[in-house]
Amino acid sequence: MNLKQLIIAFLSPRNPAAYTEAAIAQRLNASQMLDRRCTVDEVSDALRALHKMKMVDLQIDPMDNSAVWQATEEGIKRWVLEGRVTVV
Amino acid sequence: MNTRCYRSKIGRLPFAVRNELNERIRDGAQGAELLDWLNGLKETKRILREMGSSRGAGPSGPVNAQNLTDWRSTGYKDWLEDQNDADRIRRVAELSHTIATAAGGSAAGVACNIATAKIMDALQSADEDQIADLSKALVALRSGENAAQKVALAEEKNALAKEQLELSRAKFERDTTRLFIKWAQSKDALALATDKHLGSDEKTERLGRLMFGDLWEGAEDGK
Repeated sequence: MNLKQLIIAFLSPRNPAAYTEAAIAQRLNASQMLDRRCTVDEVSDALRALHKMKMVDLQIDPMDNSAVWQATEEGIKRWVLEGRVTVV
Repeated sequence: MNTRCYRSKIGRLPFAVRNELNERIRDGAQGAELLDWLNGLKETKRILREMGSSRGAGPSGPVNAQNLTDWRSTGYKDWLEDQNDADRIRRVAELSHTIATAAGGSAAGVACNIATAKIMDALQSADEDQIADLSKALVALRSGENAAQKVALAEEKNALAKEQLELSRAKFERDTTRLFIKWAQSKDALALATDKHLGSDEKTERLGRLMFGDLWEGAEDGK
């Protein structure tokens, strides 16, 4: 599975929970489901690509203006179609 | 968290291949069929080649029935547990969102979604019984709130009905007073009301006919 698929596998089952890029990167690395460790920048790029595909939604935390991401309905549909692989 | 590392032939295959193998096992595929498919993949051939060369030997033999049996009791078993984890995560996410909204968060609000994530992290280590208890408590809380809302609504309806009744009575009294003033000036009405030869029922009947005409008969017939 590639990084984008794994991000969807992390966010979809947790919807509507929203996470920062750093939190997503940390959880993906802890899962060891990637062939190598990913960086926050790589996760950020993948999230932006997924955002263009309408698979994730970007929100801004009003408390500290940080960006948080959550899966969209479209992302969840894709996750189900791909077998509901889950990053625990 | 999924931090398992498998060193067997199947365990060293890429995640996507292992995942598809697990799905095929779950869907009831037979061993021979699985082995044919698995050994035909270029990823499998590459991994077997790499395993052999790391020992300074030729390629390892193909994945066999024993490898598959071992996988069923290790990697496949873990994968099944992970599938249950997916369902558990969904339940915990729903519960966390319920808690976040019950605490006053707007269901579609960013802060609520962030709080949901943080509550999820806190609940991650809770066992099934604790999660079930928490769910029950929230359901009971909501039921209690709904019951209280129903009582408040019923009280509000009663108050409105009472107010309406009082308004109707005031209107009736005002209308009756106006009628009295009007008919007190009528000689016919006055004669009927003061006729000593008529009983009370007869007076009522005749005055009713005088004052209301056909409407009086209609009221009497219950129309």
